[in-house]
Amino acid sequence: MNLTAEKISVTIGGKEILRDVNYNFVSGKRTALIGANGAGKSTLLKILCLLNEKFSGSVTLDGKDIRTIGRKNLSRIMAILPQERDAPQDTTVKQLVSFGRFPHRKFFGGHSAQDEAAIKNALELTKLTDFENRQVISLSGGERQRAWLAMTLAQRPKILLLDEPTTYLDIAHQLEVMEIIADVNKKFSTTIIMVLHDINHARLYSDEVLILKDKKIFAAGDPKKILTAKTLSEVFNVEADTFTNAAGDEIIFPIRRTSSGL
Amino acid sequence: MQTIKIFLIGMTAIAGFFLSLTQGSVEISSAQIFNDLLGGEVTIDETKRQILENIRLPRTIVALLVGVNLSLSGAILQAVMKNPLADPHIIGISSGAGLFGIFVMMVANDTLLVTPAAFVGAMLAAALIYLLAWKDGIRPIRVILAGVAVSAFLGAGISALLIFYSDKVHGALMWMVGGLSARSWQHVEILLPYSIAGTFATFLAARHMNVLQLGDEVAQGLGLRVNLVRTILTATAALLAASAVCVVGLLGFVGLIVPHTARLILGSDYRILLPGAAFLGAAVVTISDTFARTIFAPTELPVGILMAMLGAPFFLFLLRREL
Repeated sequence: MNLTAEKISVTIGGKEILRDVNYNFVSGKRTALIGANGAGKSTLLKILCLLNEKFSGSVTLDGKDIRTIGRKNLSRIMAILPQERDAPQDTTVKQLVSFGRFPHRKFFGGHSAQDEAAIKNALELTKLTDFENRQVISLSGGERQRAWLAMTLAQRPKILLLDEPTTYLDIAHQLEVMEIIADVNKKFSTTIIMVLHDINHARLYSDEVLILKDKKIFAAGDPKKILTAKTLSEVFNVEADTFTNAAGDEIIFPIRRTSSGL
Repeated sequence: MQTIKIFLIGMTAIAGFFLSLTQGSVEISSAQIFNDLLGGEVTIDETKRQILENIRLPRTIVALLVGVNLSLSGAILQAVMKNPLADPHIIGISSGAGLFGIFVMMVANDTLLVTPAAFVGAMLAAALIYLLAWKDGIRPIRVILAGVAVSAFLGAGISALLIFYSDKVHGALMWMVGGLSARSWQHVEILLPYSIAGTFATFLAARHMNVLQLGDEVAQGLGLRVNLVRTILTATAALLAASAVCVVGLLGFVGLIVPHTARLILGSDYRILLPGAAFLGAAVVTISDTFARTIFAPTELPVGILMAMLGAPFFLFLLRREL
């Protein structure tokens, strides 16, 4: 499905965050949102899924304004994994993942075979099948993140939005999450839009990158072409080295802040 | 396992119901109650029949409904406000009902009007707090803070009334503590519609309350219209609590402790928690009231006092075990 942001402007608490942002998210691809803290990445992500409704401009899905589609219908198409979340202490992994079926339930309906299949599938994709009866609170950080990811996958979204999915995870679990996302994208052609902080993750695990700076899109397109040492110095005021690893991928290594960063 | 626990709590509620009917200054056996109420052979004399049908039965039903209403109200508010201290007090039910009820009792000197006045006061206070807390939607912390402020304001009014009309303080105090003495069929009629409609609405929203537990953003992402659901549920909780408080006075304790106790026993899935809390509320109030009127017979203890004295230590025991 075609997700387009048109003339998005937003002000939060008197501070203008985004001004006239236009972007067409490529269907079936993974797009990484990159930018300094406060550049408006999470804000843009929240606008795309109506978590932030106080913006001007429009977000359209196949030409239809998401505000007219409505939250309930939108949640059958689009899933979001926000950073701010909570679950009661005794929630099991399976219960948490089952919440992903909430948008698809009728008001009086019960648990259908389709719901069961989607939950099972989400647990498999996130390798949590053996953990389904564990309490979410007893999981490690990486497992917990996979459990929340599984909840959004059980939603069977065509578009999946992820707000910093690897924050607070160790390097192995970061890669694990990025691999699951790549897997989902490949298997179901799910459009993925994710806020990332790690430049190399963006280079390795996304098809498109969108860089925000000074309320606007600074650059957008192929991550391998755009995410260079030069971009880093312009966007983050950071000096970086570039080298090529054994697999032939170019790796960017930030070294120090440039003086203009102060 | 959960089913067994709910069944046991349900049985306790039924036991409480019969305990309340059989015990008192005049003892009536369960067999006699069955025969009389279910149209069997009448085996009790006219006096006992009068006591059973016009005094004990309505009082017991009032106790049961009040227990259900207050505990469901508390359970809803804990979900909606995502705060363990949320209870009907928080949304101004007690202070609103208190001020209006006591005003009518003391200044207008009209005991018949106390119930409707308390109901109106409770709903007005709840609406005021909700409006004050509304700013681009509802944030629980703002409701709680607005609730504290409005309750303090109304509480000052109550204190002023108690001082200016100190000759009538006793009646007001009895009402503030909360009690069930002399509650009759007319009170059942006041409570019943709210109990039925409120319970029905609450049970329908069980899954929505589960989703609310996940946080506002997750809930919205799952398609829940958080502000709308919060408003409807808060109104439901307000109606449930206001109907109870206007009939039995400021019986505050049930709405806070019963839902927590149900949560400690049954877990936080609202599809299980809600029926559990309703049964537990009914059991706690009917049993407490039975003790309150029999322990120091013929003197009656206000049920609110007994409930707090027995319930608070029990709750602390559960809490310690859990932590």
